[in-house]
Amino acid sequence: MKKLLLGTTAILGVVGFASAAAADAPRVTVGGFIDFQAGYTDDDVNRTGEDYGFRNDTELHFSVDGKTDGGLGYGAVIELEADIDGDTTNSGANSDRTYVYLDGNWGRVELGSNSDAATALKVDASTIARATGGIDGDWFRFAAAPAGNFIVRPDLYTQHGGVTTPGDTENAGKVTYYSPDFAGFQFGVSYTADLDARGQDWTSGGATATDIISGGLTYNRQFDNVALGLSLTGENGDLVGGGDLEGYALGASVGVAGFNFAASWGDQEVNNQDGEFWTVGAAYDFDAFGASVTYLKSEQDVAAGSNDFENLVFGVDYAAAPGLTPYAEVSFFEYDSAGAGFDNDGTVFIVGTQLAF
Amino acid sequence: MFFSRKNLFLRIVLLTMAALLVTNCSEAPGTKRDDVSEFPMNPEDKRKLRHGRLTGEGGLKLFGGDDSQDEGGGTSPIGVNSFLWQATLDTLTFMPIASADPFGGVVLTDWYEDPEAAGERYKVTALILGRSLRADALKVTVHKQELDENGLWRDRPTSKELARRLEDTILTQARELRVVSTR
Repeated sequence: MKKLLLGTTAILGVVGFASAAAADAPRVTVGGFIDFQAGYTDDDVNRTGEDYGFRNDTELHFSVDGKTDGGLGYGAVIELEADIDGDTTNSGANSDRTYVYLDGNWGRVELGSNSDAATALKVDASTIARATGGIDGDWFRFAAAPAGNFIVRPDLYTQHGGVTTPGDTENAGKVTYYSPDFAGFQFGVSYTADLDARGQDWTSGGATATDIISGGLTYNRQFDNVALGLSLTGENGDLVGGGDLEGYALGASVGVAGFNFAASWGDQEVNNQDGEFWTVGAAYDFDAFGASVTYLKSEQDVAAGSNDFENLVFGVDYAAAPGLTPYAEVSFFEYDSAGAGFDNDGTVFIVGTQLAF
Repeated sequence: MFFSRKNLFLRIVLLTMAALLVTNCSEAPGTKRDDVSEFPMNPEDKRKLRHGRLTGEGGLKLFGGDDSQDEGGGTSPIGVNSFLWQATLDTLTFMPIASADPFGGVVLTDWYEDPEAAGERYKVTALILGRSLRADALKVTVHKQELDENGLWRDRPTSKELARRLEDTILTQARELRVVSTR
């Protein structure tokens, strides 16, 4: 906390925060969402209980927004978790994101626990997906995760902290800068000191990675009826225990006449082991319905060979009323371990409804 | 090595940052200054808000802020958007103003004959509807009269072109006023 304040003060000094009188008094707004899902899994794992269940995910978001006379925008975002139990990925302890921001014509700086620039700027099949997010959605919450190193999400390594089930390391404390949009181009860069430092403790438990720089460059352009998006994202850091970590991804999306198409390719090298993933997807919006199909394929080198993973997800959602979105999703996944390791393939069905307020 | 894989990404990032920062500083044409509030968001958050929110655009305001944060354009006491109002007056001052009602949002000019185009005179009516700065909140009509051979002024039809051009001029100026006022 003290470091955060020192950092903020230093940056404010650079930007020239002279006037104490606010042009607009800060405004506090509350919002959030509640998402209820029923899911059923049909896979190769024998469970002691049932293969189906309910879950819900609820968050309460507070935003503070203000602007000074000099035109400096400032504020904070506090996203509180309102779940009865946190989940196994460590998400849901007290809050999901908490950060302070400053913005203006020069860009935007975010300080605190938020996802990084590479995540915000990436373009891949999941960024056009409907329902829970397709290949980057909630299918994994109902499927059995194998031990071993698989790439199961279209994300760079630090977004999931290197564990197979998506972890919550994306919210490690960091400093991020986004540039303004300049003729369609925008870049962002984040620095995370310690991937496991999310809350009040800054001393590194240091289990995973440190000293991570990540970021991306995007280009967005609307040509008459066609919308084009391109992204290049990457990261570089140090693994605890020695070893390098780096990765990059390229993505593109095209939108025309209600359709969206996207594809991406990513490559990572973690401690001299290579991993690659590809995504491709399409989405279509008609009236208040949205439908998407997304596909992810990945290969991760391990000592015994290559851990392969594939996932094909169909999702559909419907805007029943402002903020109320029922949806359904079916996902066909397959884990294929190198050698004689754990294999699992199956299908996850999810039906749910989300209320955003 | 300069281009070793380990450093390549960092080099690309730094060079791109340098290039974009330099060009931003020089205020090259084409920079969109009034869209800087659109900053990247995590794709999961974007998905959650894809279909809007129950409480509307900004969420539910708890406390703080003031009305100037709405697009309505100011804590001014007039009944219509103040940027449109000021831009309309600025644009039409080359003609004599017969009446200007800031509460109803109506500007009526008097007949104006351009000295270089004798025999034709124009009168403009501008209506501003509402408090928000939108293209369809402004309606300009142009009336034209020509002197006939008996020395009497007769109404003549005008093309919509002139009215549209006046509307464009007023809207552009109103937007500029708003951008300047939010700095």
